[in-house]
Amino acid sequence: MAADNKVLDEVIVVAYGTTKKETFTGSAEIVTAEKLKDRPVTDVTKMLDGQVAGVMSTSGGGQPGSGAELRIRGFGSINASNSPLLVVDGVPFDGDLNSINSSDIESMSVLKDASAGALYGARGANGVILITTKQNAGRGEALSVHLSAKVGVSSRAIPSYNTMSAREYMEHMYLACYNDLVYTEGYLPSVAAGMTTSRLARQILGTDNIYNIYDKEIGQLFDANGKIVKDARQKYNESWLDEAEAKCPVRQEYQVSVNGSGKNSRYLASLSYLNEEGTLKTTGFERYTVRVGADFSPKKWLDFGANVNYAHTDSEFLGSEGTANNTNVWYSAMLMAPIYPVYKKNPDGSTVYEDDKKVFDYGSSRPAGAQNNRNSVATLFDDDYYTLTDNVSTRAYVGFNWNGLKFTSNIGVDNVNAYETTNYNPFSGNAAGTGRLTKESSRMMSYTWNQLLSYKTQIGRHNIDAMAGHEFYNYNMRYIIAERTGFPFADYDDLGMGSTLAEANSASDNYSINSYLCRVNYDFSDRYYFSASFRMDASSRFKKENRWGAFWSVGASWRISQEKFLSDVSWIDNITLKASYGVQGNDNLGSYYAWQSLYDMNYPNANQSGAVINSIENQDVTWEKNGNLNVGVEFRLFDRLTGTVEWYNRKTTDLLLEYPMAISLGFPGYYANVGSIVNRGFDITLGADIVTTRDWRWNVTVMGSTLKNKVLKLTDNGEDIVNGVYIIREGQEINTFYMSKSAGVDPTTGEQLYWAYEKNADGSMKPGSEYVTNDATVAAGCKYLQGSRIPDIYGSISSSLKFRGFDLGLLFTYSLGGKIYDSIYNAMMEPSFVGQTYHRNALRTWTAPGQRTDVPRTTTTASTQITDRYLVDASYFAVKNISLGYSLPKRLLGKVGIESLRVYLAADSPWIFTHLKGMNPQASFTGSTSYSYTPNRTFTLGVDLKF
Amino acid sequence: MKKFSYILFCLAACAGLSGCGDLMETAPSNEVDKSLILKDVNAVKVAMNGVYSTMYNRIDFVTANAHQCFGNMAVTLCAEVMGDDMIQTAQGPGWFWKDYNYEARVRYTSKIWRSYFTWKYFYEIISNVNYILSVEHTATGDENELKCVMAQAYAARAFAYFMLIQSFQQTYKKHETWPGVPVYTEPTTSASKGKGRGTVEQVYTQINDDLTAALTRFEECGIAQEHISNLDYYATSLLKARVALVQNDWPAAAEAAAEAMKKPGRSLLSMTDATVVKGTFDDATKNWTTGKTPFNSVASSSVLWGAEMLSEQSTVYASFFSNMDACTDVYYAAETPKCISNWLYAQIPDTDVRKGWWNGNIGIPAEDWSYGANINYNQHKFQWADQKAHKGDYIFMRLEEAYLIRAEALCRMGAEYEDEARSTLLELGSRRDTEYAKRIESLTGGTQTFATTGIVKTLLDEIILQRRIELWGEAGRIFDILRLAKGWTRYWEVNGEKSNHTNYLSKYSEYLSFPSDYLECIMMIPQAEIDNNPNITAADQNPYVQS
Repeated sequence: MAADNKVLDEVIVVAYGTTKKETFTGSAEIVTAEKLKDRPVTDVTKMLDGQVAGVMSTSGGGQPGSGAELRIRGFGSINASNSPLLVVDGVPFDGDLNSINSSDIESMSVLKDASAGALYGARGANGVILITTKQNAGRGEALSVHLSAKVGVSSRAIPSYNTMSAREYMEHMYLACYNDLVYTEGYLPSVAAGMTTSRLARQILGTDNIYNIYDKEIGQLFDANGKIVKDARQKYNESWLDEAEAKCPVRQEYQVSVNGSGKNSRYLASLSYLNEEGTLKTTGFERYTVRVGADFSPKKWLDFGANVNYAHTDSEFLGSEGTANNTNVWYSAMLMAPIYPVYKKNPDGSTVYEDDKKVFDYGSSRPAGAQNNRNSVATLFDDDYYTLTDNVSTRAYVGFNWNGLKFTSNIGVDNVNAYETTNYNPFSGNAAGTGRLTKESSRMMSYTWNQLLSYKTQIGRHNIDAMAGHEFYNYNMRYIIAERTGFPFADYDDLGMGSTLAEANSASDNYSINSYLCRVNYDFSDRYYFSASFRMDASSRFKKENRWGAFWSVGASWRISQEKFLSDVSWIDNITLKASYGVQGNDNLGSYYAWQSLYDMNYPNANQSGAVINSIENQDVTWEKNGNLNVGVEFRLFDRLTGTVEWYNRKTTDLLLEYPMAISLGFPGYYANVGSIVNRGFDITLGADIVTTRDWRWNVTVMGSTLKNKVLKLTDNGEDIVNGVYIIREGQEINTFYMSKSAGVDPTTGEQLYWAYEKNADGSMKPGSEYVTNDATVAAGCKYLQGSRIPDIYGSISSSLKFRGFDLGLLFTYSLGGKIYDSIYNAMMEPSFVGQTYHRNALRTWTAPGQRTDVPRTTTTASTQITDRYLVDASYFAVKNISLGYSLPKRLLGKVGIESLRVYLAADSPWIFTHLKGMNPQASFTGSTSYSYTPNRTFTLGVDLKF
Repeated sequence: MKKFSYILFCLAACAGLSGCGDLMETAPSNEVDKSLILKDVNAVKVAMNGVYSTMYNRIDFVTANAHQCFGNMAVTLCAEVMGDDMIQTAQGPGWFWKDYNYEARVRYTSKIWRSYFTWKYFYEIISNVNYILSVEHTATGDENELKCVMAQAYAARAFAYFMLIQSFQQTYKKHETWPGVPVYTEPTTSASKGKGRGTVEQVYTQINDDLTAALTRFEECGIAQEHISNLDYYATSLLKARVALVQNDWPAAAEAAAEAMKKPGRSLLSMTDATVVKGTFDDATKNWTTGKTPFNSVASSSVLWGAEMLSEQSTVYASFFSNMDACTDVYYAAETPKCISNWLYAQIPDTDVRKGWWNGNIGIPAEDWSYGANINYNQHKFQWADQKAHKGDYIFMRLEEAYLIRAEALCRMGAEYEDEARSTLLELGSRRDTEYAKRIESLTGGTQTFATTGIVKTLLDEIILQRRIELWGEAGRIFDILRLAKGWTRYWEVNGEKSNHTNYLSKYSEYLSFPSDYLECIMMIPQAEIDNNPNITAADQNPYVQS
């Protein structure tokens, strides 16, 4: 059989070095530039969805330049970070991920198990993502130039929710007002009917009923059944979201890179420019990057190299994004009832213009839920939010070689300087009357410096490779903020214009890790592989006595296909069995100073210093440990089928938990190492080269991952941690939904009914004691476990088809099972404030005795207990990417000195299919939704030219 | 090889040095270790100032809706709008609207509404104070100064428990054995566990113990109030009087109030000082001016305890004046002016300077009003000191209250104290109403003959009426309603006008007069407490539905 086929040559970047995939004892997957190049992605974290089995991704927001969240093999922590460690060119990265030009990336490796990641010790517990930038691969003396351009347009990837039309809204509010009068205030139906229109007008139509969108007086608008009379005509029809969203935002990205080499040197330089307009008006992201790298081997025994990336970014963003603040249009415009105009209207419904511009309606008599005295669309223009950032990321090394002995010292420095401005205008909104300007500036510098000694030798069929070293990491952040109010004019951008100092403050943070590490790799006869690693870390996050942690791993793999008994089985190209176990750590709590009891000095009382206690001491707090077992098989059969099947079992012990306390004790809790949690599952990747003729190549890859998460132990007495609609309870999945259970709607009264039960002394349900109640307090005390966001299976299907010069790439992602508590849907079914719109499902509301429905009687102050009514199946199927390319024939190009030329069309996130229109199934890992910037769909046209 | 070894050695040496011991010891830059703060008296004062700062300058207790959760004044304003004497005109921005309509309590499972705020706010004060008190015998420094800080800490704790028990349970009398609120007197550590509710009686025992501890220490240390924000002997005495009033311990209330009245250098606001110049508001242009009032300055002669508001410490929108002063084109009050009950306003004679604290009937009822201060009965008592700089001091206690408490307590003690009660009341009344002496000369009797509306028949009726007028917006009317136990109403007719309340709560059949133990004005224990306190279960929750 052919021992060395192309797959065996696949080199993957792993911790402190590279290895060949088939010989690697750990679990690592590589994503090459080839798979990423057509994606219009500004932040590299958004590229990984569907690329690697076992990696779960959120969609990330649509704010240009924003990233996604990633989780590798489940959720190992409750209060410490669950995010993987990001390493760029060998050194943990603290810069902004959107400062990396995705075209500069050669590959990304995802390290999933201990054997792969334990060398990152203290910070490796949640997996590691290694980003390797393009190496200076020169070919002789020739220079190679690469030009690329992408131009695209964006729109929202997820449609908006089905909300009511103006007519539906008016009729629904009529019903709500009527119900208020009859059921809440006790009027006779006949009396109430006569009062409803005036009540409705008072509630939502403003002074002199100016927000009556119909051409009929309010008194004549409704018939006896509360329906709008047929001949009423709507005077205008405006959607706040439509007015807030940009019509055709353009995304452009251009890059040029040159690389080449001399006799003992290799070098590379690249330049790029990106300009991405947001799907929301006034938002955008602009970036310039320069990367320069060079490697030299002046002597046989000496290597030296450096790689510097500079990025300047300008992010124009939306203030208060994600929050229930009027400034955030994803909240305020989305929930705006459809009767209110964005622009001022004349009595006939036509728009008022001044200087040929539409005049915004700042509606001083709109109700509280309808942006009273504000206009969030106008605020997009009236306010200003931007961040200017400079990222410098340097990686350098020097190496000395002598007969297999090698000493290397690497230094990596990340520097981020950011300057953020928040400007609230003085006319309306958050700082009406005074104006408010906030300037924040931060300076982050982190460095990692290591000294590594390695030795490599071959004795007969024994290969030994050993490495030992020391590493020191330091992080320093400095921050300054100043704020003034009292601005007499608009369009100010500096503090001097303001009269009154509102804030002036600064802060800094420090964090260090000191480490010793070593590793041994051994293989025998290209068949048996062993590896072991050990690392000691001291983290400044913990008290001196508890600072050191030891992390280690052992791994072995057996290339069974190399054994004699399989050597004549021609259809087996490769089979590798592997297993590894190790312990990694996690010190990443929210605070750098978690063990200390601290007073916050930010509370002066007039001119005297004041301090407030804000944390409880726990000197014992230390590492969270993650025992990670991985067993798997990798194969290639018939020279066509490839696959990896792995089973993992990650158990976190000494869980870093913010041990919750009764609010009456004055603290939310304190950090302690308690409890354990386990994640286990399969990661399966199967690929098939279905067609491999000279003209046709077609490959399909299917990935599927399962995850079983279970909280094994919490506190000593096993108390639950309840937080809103979530519970963390022993024996259950992390963040299991814990809420009341709907028992439908009482057909006689239209009230929401709940399931309730009697309790044992420990609070558990008495068997057989369940009953139905309409008492919301009882229901609040009788919650049920109702599943979690964690899917049964998730993964992707990708296809790559090539025909002569044409190529077609498809990427689909899917997720089956799990639930989402859609709080946005909840807010649309039971608005908190009058003036907010309703979801069309609210039309199913109970109206008359005897009616069977799932939506209770509506009122203007509706507020029921949160129940499983608002739990939505999280399953989805998404078309993540389609890209169609054509490479011009080489023989044609050769004549004009071009090496390659490819043009392509790509659609990113074109479609998604979910159980509720408007809901983002990848909004979060816990199954919550928020009023955040809706993700983008982008259609791109691109050109790649090499000569 | 030699060269190589040498380089190697050098680098290894560098590596050793880079162990960088110093860099491993990190501490935050704007926080200090507990041990430093609790070490000596000067540092402990910093912690006590943090407590005072919390009372007006912290709005981080809720993650949203913070604009109705700004410390003491928010608690008081909430208690005001839950009563009968203050009208909230409209939903406006929504702040305090659910309190006014008794709709806040249903939101007890949420971490952004009233129950959660009030609970968390006072318990954070208590936890801070308990840390301070834990070093009473160990902190170094001047003994008397330390004693003075400790006295303030005891007083602050009494204040917090007093506000909690009034908010989360019916009044003391007849409910002594009802569930109270958890009482903690030790600093919270990682070993602390949430406590059970105990009884109302236990909470009042703690409050009185703390008050005694505070007063003794104030007397012993002999240090005068350093800053108006500090609780001192006199402010604590007034607090004691408030507590005694709720406990119906009249002699104690009278005596404590008398102590508060002794504060040197303080005097009742004179008729001139108590004169309010109304701000103006132009409906067409939204132009406004701010008038003049003594109730936005701790420099006013009668202030016993308050917060001095520096411009940079102002919580701007999330503040009392933002919600009160409707002479503005931006702040919240313009969207929902706070008005006095037209019945109460009608009780103020023309000769009374307080007639000018509110608009009378200016011909603009709520139906015709859309924005700003021009509405019948709008208040001008509370106005910004400087709206542009969003400044205005908060007054937590005034001398006038001491006179009113003393008068009430004496009046209730029996006929033999009536003359003194009357003369005490006259001290205040004569500074408001030129004809006041005549008004009360013939009044006698220590019974309360009406709840919200009625005819003054007894001296006690008059004292309570004066209390409602003088302390409007300051006392937390619902707390008075609860302790007076006569119920209340929002529905009446006066001089041919209907009640100007925008919500009569006609939804309740008993709307003409709410029972005194009406549960809708008692907050629910926040669900988050029940979720995390092993000693409070759903069964310990306050009743949800009036039985």
